[in-house]
Parts: sequence; structure tokens; C-alpha cells
Amino acid sequence: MRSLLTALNLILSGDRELFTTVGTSLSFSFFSTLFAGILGIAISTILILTRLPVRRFLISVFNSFMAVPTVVVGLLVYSLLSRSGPLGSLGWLFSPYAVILGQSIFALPIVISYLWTGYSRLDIRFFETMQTLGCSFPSKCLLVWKEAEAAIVSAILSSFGRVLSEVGISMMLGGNIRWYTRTMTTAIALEITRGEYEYALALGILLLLLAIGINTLTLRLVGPQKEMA
Amino acid sequence: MNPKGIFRIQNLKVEFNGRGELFHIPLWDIPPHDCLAVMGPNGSGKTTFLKVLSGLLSVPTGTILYQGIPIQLNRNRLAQDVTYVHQHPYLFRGSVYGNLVASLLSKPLSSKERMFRIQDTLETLGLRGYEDRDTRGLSGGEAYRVALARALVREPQVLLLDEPTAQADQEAKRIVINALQQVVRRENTALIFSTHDEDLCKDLEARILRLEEFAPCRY
Repeated sequence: MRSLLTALNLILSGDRELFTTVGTSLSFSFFSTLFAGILGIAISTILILTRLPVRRFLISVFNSFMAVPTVVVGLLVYSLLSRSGPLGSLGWLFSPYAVILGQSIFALPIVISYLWTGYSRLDIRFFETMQTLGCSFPSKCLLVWKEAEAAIVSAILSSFGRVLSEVGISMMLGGNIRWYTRTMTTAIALEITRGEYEYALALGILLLLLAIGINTLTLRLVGPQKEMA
Repeated sequence: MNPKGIFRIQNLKVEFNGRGELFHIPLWDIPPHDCLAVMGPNGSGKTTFLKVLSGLLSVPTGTILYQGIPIQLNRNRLAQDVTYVHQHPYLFRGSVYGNLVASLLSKPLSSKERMFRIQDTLETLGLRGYEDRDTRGLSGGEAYRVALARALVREPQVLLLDEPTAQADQEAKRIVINALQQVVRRENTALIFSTHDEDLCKDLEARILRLEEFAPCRY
């Protein structure tokens, strides 16, 4: 109980380090979701609008990647960014760039899989109507995005939530450097090992509130009324 | 080549999900400004026939020439010239006006010309005042008229309609028939529609293609 009160006190007092960590987490998640979102929307739209013979295979590959643990993604990107790796010359390892790159790779299959599911639920007559109206490819893209607006919002917010709560990539690629790459999840892991439960609890409460906020926002934007429509 | 018709159907055989051969048309020409009613009992393949002509379904067996070229080799031309309207049409999310604009995106028109065409078509189909209506709130009959307006505004060479009056009440039916009579009179569009409605065929003075006459066994 005392730990909880101390944690709440840390939050209410606006502890600078605590909220810097929250800000770092949010900005990393924002940029990685942005990059994964743009790429994921483009890839899934191309896949749904074209008759690529390998599209079913690609979707099953992306679906499989959703199950890959974050530490494996972290390890993969680490091997690319380490000094002896092919991208070592960039000097990104243990910097925000590395974390955002890793998180973007992690979020990409999530966005694509969610969108593929959403797009696949669109009525076959929708695609036939676009074809018979002679819509160009850019027009088709715009129409698909408008029809699947709820699926897009859901995919983006879900991947944002997943990225925000991951720890493996941030730890391996960011190195948990104070005031620089320390995120909420890496900080929680660190504070627990140091026995600073109150600080970890405060971060945990904030993470929980953010998760609830994202879910509430998702339901508001793509809730039952929109689904029914 | 195909001097007589905008479409030439040669040896078209359509089968349906294990139910055997639905129909077999050895040879049929559809002239450029034809008004053709496709008739037949339920399940006789009327919708399939229209979808094959529109290029939405591939030609099962046989050949269909569009302007002298097999339609599978002429898909881009077909998409620009031929417009199909489903019996239960799909309207894009948003407004009625937005739906008509979407169908003109591939046409090189000035905004003034686009607006004129849209207003004129809405007027023809009794949809004046519907511009800002959300498509999700429309009845089946209204939705069909919007879909028909969306097709007509493109001024297609060939207009394919699946049961255009099936969902219409008397007033809506009169409006649809008036609009289709205008299409027939304009003589720059071939109108091909499926129907069970003999009166509609008379009103439009349509030639009739009875699919059951091309079925291997009578229904």
C-alpha cells in the first residue's frame, strides 16, 4: 500500500525523470508506428488491389512474423547496426534511431495483418464497382482507404499499443541509456532489479493508463456504430 | 473482326457450380446502340452473362469480342467503356455527390463540366436534393437510382443493368424507365439489362435474349 501511495505521489508530483521516460516511449512509439503505418498501408493496399500470384504467401509470411519475439527482432537489427554489421557505419546502435528502426520492423507485420483482415472483409461488390467504373489505381487506393477507415485506425492504434509495451527491442537496441533511450518498459525492468518498486509501479500505472487510453480511443473511433455502418 | 456488333459472342458456354451447362450461345451480335433484355428464370445465368460481358468474370468457354478484340485482351478499354450496375448495388461511403464524383475520376473533365453532368444526371433520376445525403441512409430503391446515376454520369458506351426495376416502387420504376428511355433515345449507348419484367421490355422496345432457349435442357 505504501509503495502504491509513493508511486501515485511520484506521478502527481510530476517527477521529471519519470515523465521524460514516458515522453521518450511515446515519441519512439509514435515515429515507429508512423513509419510502419505508411509502409504497411502501402504494402497491404497493393496486395489487395493487385493479383500478385505470391500475395497469399506474403500474407502468411507477415502473419508468421507477428509471432516473432521482440528480442529476435532486436537481435536481427542489432546484427545489422553493430560496428561489424552492414549498417554499422551509420553509428545508430544505442540511439533512438536504432530503437525506432527495430520497432518499425516489429510493427510492420502487425499493421499489414490487421489491414489485410480489414480489407478482406470489404464487400466483393465494392471491388467490382471500382473495376466497372474504370477507377485508376490511385482512385482505387483512395476509395479503399475511405471504405476501410475503421480497419486502418484499428491497425495503427493496435500497433502503437504493441510497440509502446515492448521491451526486447528497446533494451537491445537502445541500451536503456538514462535521459536518452530509456523507455517505460526498460525503466520498469531496471528499477525492479534495483529494488525501486515504487518507481517501477509509477511507470506501470502510467503504462496501464496509456493502454486503456489507446483502447478507449480505438473503440470510440472504430466502435460498434462504425462497424455496423 | 466484328463489323456488326459492339459485342460478338461466339460459342459461349456457361456452367455453374456443378449444375452443368446453363446455356450455350453459338453466335450472337450486339449492335452498338442496341437495347437488349436478357430474360430467363431464376438461376438461368442472367447475372453471370452480364458479368462476363462486363469483364468482371472471365469468359468460361468460347469467345466474346468487344469492338473486334477478345475481352480478356481488351480489359482497359472495357473498364472505360462498359459500366455494370449490380442488382443490389454497392455505394461508396460518403455522400451521393461523392459517389458520382468517384465515377468521374478517370474522365478528363473540367470541374464545371463534371458538376453539370452530375446535376443533370441527378435531375434525370429524381435525385435533386440528394447530393449531400449519406449513402448509408438510403432505401434499396434510392440506392439503385444513385448507382444508376453513378453509371449514367460516365456516359458509357455500354450500360449493363442487373434487374433495374426489381427494387423500385411504382414512382421509382417510372423514373428509372424514363431515364433508360432517354439512354435508348440518345443512341450513343448500348443498353443491356436482365429482367423478369415484360412491361419494361415493351417500354424500352428492347430486343429479347431468352437464355432458356440456349439451355441444353429446358427448365
